[in-house]
Amino acid sequence: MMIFTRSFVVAAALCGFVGCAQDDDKRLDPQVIQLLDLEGMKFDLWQKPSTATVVLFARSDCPISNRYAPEIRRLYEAYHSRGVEFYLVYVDPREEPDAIRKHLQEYGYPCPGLRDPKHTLVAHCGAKTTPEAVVFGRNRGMTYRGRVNDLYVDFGQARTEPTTYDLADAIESTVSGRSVTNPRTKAIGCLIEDLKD
Amino acid sequence: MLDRGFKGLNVGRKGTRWIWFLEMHDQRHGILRGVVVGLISGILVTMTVASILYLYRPVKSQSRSDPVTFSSDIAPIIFAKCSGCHCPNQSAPFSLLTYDDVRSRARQIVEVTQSGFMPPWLPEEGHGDFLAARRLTESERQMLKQWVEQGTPCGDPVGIPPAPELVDSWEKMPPDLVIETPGYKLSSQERDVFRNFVLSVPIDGPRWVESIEIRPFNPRVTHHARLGVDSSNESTRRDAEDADPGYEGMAWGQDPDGQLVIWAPGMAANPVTPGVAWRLHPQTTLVLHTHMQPTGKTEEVKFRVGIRFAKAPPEQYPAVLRIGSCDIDIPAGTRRHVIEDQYTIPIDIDLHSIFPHAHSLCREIEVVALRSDGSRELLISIKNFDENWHDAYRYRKPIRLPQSTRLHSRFVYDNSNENVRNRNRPARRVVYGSNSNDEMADVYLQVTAAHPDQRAVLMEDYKRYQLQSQVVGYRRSLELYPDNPWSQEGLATAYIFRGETDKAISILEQRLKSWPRAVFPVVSLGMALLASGDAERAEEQFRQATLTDGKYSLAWFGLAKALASQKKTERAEQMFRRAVELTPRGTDARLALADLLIQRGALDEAKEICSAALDDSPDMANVNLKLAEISAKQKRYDECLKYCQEARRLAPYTHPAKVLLAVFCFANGENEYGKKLLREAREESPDHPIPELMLGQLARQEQKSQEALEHFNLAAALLIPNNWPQSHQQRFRVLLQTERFQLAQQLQDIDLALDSLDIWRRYEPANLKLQEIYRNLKAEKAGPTK
Repeated sequence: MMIFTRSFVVAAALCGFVGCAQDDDKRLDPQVIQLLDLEGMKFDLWQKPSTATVVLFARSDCPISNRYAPEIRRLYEAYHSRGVEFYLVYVDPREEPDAIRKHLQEYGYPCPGLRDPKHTLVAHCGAKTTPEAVVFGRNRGMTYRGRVNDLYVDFGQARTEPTTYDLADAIESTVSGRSVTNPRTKAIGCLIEDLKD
Repeated sequence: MLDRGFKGLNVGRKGTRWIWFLEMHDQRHGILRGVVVGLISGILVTMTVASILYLYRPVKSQSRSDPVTFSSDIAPIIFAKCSGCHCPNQSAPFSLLTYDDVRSRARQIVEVTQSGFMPPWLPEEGHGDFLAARRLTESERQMLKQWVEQGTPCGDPVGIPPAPELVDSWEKMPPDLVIETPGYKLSSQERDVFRNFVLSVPIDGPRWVESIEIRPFNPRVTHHARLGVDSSNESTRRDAEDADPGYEGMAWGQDPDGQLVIWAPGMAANPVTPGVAWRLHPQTTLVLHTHMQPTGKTEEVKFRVGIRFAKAPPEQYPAVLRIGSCDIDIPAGTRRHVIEDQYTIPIDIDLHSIFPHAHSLCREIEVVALRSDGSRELLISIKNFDENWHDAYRYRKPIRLPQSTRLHSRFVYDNSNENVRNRNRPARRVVYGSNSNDEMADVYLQVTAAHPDQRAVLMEDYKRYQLQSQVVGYRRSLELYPDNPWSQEGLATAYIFRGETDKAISILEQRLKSWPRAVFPVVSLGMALLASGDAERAEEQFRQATLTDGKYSLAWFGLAKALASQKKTERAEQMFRRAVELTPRGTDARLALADLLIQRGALDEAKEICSAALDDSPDMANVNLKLAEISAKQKRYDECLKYCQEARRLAPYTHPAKVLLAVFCFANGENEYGKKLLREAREESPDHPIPELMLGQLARQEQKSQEALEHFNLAAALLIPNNWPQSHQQRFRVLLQTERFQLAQQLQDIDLALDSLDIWRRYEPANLKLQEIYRNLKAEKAGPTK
């Protein structure tokens, strides 16, 4: 199991941010991915039929992640009605379900919160930071991984307004069955690797 | 604001109030009064002595083979340099107080400490020894890196030092007065919010403020806050216009005298400078200008302001100087645009703190002191400027800068499209202005005069520099935005201060074309007209302003001034009384009213009014002088002398007290007593040129020409005191030559006349009449040329 996870991390690292080929064919293996809902039950990302599934890796005390809450709400409002499912996946194994519920409520997230304490989905997607978004297509293949938009350029370096709306574009393309123009972008935020047990 | 125009019209006449401009971020027309004080802030959070001692114990050397552990190596660094902000209810978004806290951010900590983003501290090492510097040393950064490379080991958990215990300094020693803003709901939008909160101060009489401290209830959303005082009712009006607590945009107020009251995340705990306090008047409003950053959820925002009152009046008066160019014009697309400026200080000063200010395009800031002996000192150097983290930096020890030191500032801007902080997409031409899309190149310096009696010399000289700088900046801004009210009003005010009333009038008329109902420019126009001698039209303007806003004290005051200068004294008196009713604690309206009362012989009421003004502002020389004038009229010369002595103590460049008293005696026709006083004054201050000059004047009037000439020669030979502001020196020099010229006329001495005119015309090169008289006289002496 440990070796398996590591090899994914290496693979993701090799892939880097240079935008390797879309790994649409890399399907989620329910045996490997161990997502939990806030009741502590195993959660299957595909239990609801969807035109696209958006996952946002988050932690409640990541300020950059939190500042994107209004944008996530807007995306939810725009795409949920078009069959897109949204999930916030909390990556800090120490984060208690109650704290997550409070966080979801405070920031007005309309979507469910899940936990990935063993970073199985993190590893599968090759996610590095919170907030990093991943979009899966109808066939469960990953069509996009990266930033929500380019508001942040680095820690402490934010634009006044974003100039690219990467996640919105990726969702739109995925829902309409087109290929995503920039399938890989670099997300700025807190490093998930710091949270490994 | 309230008494702006009045001051503008009277600079030079009033003894003590050397006023000048201070332009600050999002604030228009700040006017500071000469009385000032030390940079305050306060210890937001103090660590207990025990934990401080623990934190600063010697850290083991850097090169080592044994593993770096949290307990022995990392915790001391983090607790000393990070935990002050990274703890609950402080400004940082997460805590760094335990091993788990730190471990779960370890790589991120290495990344941000290597890049220099954290701890946020802009000044480069080695230039300026600042208090409470948050900078990490190179070995501390390496230690953090090594720790992560070694797998973030904890070490002996028992050996982990105690996390800093956060003690609220207000709990240990509560402020004398705590004022709270109303609660404001900051929505979860993405855009930053700039909002001003207005606070009234519940005090009965004037108080000396030793320290004033801003405390956000919600430091996490507060990017910075700056406190100003507003003696007008302008901010209250704007607050009332906005449905929510406070109002958006530009603040309206001035820095408290000589103070920069700032709150910034993790800011240094600045000690209170002893012997330095500033006066807070009742009916003054405090304006808290805040920059807030939404967090992603709705936030309840509230601020507290804590004031500690001083037991005693100040012993020294600091000043805040704003240096740096306003001549900013950055072409679109330029990657490195340099703006430089310099100001040469006229006296020895001590520099206490430095606060550089620019907006988002600025990349580098450097301020250099070039001493006249050729030595050069970098006062501050910032290589990676970030407006979000700028702060006021206080030197551990004040820096002495001798007279004639040039303060050279250098700002570098990146106005290219590649600069991610560029707010203009695509990049466009950027000029001077207070909006975040404009730029600034300001350096605020808190200074004291090394010899306190020379302070007025500095303030007058600085004011001239500041007005010149502003005129250039506002004109630049108007090139790009011809109808910008901020620049129009600012430029007009600067012109009024400089006595260029015609220019002020035409700008204000222009301004009123687009905003005919704006009260402030109407009042300014009135002031400009009054200064230009057109009292009738001034009266019209002020009257219109009183109709628009019946509570605008300055409008009533201006109306009264306009009436008084048309000799409509009875109605002027009524209007002054109206102005006093609206600002009962103000000085200017009360003194002006007293003048009218003195004119019609109501000395008792005038004295009553001025005594009350003195209770409110005992440190104002001009109030003392007015009381001296009244006492003299009542023939109470002992009392008069006391007021004169107090006035001289407060404004050391004025005449010796006995000379002042003598002047009042002459006005009463008591020439013999006056002469006796002048002789006594000369005995007491043999080096002072004024008694000689006045004795000469008297002798000339009594036709004792030879004696007069001797006095004038002596007066000319004496050194001019080094605490005289330049305008004062100028007046003295011109007066001396006027006297010599008049004496020459009496004596029919053409050589003396030519000599005095020749010197005189050098002091007044623009006086064409003078040049003409000189030329004619010279020709006359040469005799007919034909």
